[in-house]
Amino acid sequence: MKIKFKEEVFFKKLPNFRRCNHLKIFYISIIAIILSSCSNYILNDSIAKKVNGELAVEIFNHSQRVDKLEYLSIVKHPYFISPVLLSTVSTNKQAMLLMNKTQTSEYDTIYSLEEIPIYKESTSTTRIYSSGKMETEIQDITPDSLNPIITFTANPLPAEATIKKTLIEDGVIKAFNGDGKLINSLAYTEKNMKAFIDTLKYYVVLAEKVDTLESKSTEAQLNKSLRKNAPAGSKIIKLSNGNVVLEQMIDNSANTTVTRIRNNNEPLRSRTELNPEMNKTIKFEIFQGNQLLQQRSYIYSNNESLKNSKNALILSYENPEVIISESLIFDRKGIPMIKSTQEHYLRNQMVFHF
Amino acid sequence: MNIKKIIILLLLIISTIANAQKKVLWLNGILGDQNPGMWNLYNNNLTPTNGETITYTSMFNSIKSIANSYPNQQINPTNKDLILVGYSLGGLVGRTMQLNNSYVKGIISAGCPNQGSALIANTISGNVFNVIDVGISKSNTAINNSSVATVFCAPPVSILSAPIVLGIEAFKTAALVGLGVVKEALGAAIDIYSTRTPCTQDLVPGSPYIVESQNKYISVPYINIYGAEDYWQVLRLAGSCANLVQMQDPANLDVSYDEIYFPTMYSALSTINTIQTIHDDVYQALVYPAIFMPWIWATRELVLSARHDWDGVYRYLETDMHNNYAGIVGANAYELRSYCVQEWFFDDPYMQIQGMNKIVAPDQGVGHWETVCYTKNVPITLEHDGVVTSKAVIVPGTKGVKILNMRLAGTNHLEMGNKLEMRELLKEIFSGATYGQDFQ
Repeated sequence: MKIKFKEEVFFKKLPNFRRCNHLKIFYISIIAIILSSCSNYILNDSIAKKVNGELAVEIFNHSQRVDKLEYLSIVKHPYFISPVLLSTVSTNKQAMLLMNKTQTSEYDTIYSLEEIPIYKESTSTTRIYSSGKMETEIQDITPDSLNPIITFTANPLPAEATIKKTLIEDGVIKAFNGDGKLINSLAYTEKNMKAFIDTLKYYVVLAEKVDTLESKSTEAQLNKSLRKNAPAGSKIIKLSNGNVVLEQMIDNSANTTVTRIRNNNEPLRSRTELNPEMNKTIKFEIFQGNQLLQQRSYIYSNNESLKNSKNALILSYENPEVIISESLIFDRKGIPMIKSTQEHYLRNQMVFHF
Repeated sequence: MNIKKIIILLLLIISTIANAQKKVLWLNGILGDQNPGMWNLYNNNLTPTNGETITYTSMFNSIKSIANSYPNQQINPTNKDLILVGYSLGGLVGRTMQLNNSYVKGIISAGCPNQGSALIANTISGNVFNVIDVGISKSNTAINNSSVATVFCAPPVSILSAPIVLGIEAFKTAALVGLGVVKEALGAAIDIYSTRTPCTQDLVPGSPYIVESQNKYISVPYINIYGAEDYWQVLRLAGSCANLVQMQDPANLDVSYDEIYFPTMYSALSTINTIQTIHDDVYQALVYPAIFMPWIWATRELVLSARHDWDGVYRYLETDMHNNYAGIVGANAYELRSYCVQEWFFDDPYMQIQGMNKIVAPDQGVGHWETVCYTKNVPITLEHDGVVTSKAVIVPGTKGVKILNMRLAGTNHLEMGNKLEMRELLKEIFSGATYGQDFQ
């Protein structure tokens, strides 16, 4: 009786179903198409699994970024000004003028197009399989209208010549233009990522365990590990707000990441500030003596699209929403400049399938 | 060579014969006697009776002395009316010859630096900013920084950062080698101008020769053709430079070599895209071992710094290198321009003033993008053909009895001769149909 009632209700909902055979055929056809495409999807997925192995890790990234180059300013960048820097540039009149400029005027002159900020928005998806195979897709989704530099040349790069998508798979890097046309392909020696996956898996699983331990014993264990593994000359400082600062020396001869102050042989040191749980960077700095050379700040926002996950479970380790980096450099005339990168992440997460 | 091209070339030559009263002299550019000259492409079809190229040793003589080396009785014994067709330096030679030769009834020039050549001035004075070298230097810095970023070279860092190594190797193979080839090709071309000779001295903007020439009234009809090249001029010029001999072979008429280095650029850029993403992935992955080996936090930062270096390399190769080169050829001009860009601002101004030393709690918001507008004196890149700017070629109409400045799009300086559009234009000029009887 109940079933009959349900059947009647079902057929009543579909207008004239019993009476219209062509409608019946239509709906059955739709269902057949759906099922066949599902089975094709399942079939393709099965083939993919056989060829690549199971999917182990996906890394998703969607960022908006602005790169800027501007003259070092006492007003805007006071933390980069030190007696060492001042003594380096004091004889450079132009440098001193630019550093001490308190307001911009509409007659400011740009000496290099690098001073024009460039905005870039891009997405990337990396898939790494348990077999060690890796595929990556990168898309440049920057709207051209947002970059004025395009209007500052008589012959800008047209859309058909601009790389808008890059695919890395099966040992080939393929570049596509704004019209989706393949404009270049290049053989690429693929890295087997099995060791990468195995190593990452080990630490992710360990991190999951740590996440569930009592905080006191965790802290004790971490501190013990910290002091045991600390490189020579390192310092650990606990701040009053609970943050932890790690200071370590950087080998002068090896590292060329930062511009050094001329005629200054003081060693480079890094200063990393972590949150009390020591699972997030808050700030990173590089100094030469007491001269700040590079600074980076992180902002977190508890956004779901910024959190890593494992088998649909959100992990507590989250990625930053905003990273602001500033580096001190010198132009060809010895004038100090600040190269800054502002990165805003709309998505920034690793998804683990192991 | 297909039928159409043969017909055009024949028509071009026939046009020079058609009016038996006019003889066409084709004047090559600098070093036209040593390198294959631009107009030598047409040599097989030119004879002393219908037209000939003049071969002259241009490099070590002043423009006036070159012009004076060819008196009328030598180049035009039968006293026909002369049309001079000069390429590059040849245009100035032609203009100077005309001053002392009443048989010259018209001048056509292609890529002629009527206002002088900033490229030559910068090369002689040593102010040439080697744009390719800067690109190679930035690339090497990024490579070094990526390599040392993984400063703790033991596992797990060495394992997790291993993909970076392969990415760098791919770039070295695909791009660095290619950039070196481009640099050599371009250097060979620019090097021609580095010797301080009477000829190159004359070509410097503001030289006594140029000033005098600018003040001279051109008393015969003058068609002044200038090339306007497309994007990536540095690569285009290098491509042509590397194939000068092939370009002058009549068998290669209409074959353009200016895009032969484009695959090198695309390979470089797409490899950089790959490297950037690898850095992002490694940066993400390193967070987990960093939790247990806190010194790895600093390593992560160096990976991110290296990634920023690669951003700079990408921008330089795609855009800035070509704009910088434009400055060397004098194709930059300052204009007051307003422009707007997206910039990130923190919602809490405290973070900006105090050097961003604060975490913002999730519900307080973080920041936002703002459109910020500026008005500044900005260097604008003007049109050029890879060697001379349109500005340096164009002659104001008031400087002559009949001056026509004509733009040939998509043409670089070295490929003017074997460009089909150039030959079609010359054919039309010689036919008298469009541009009057002066050159018929």
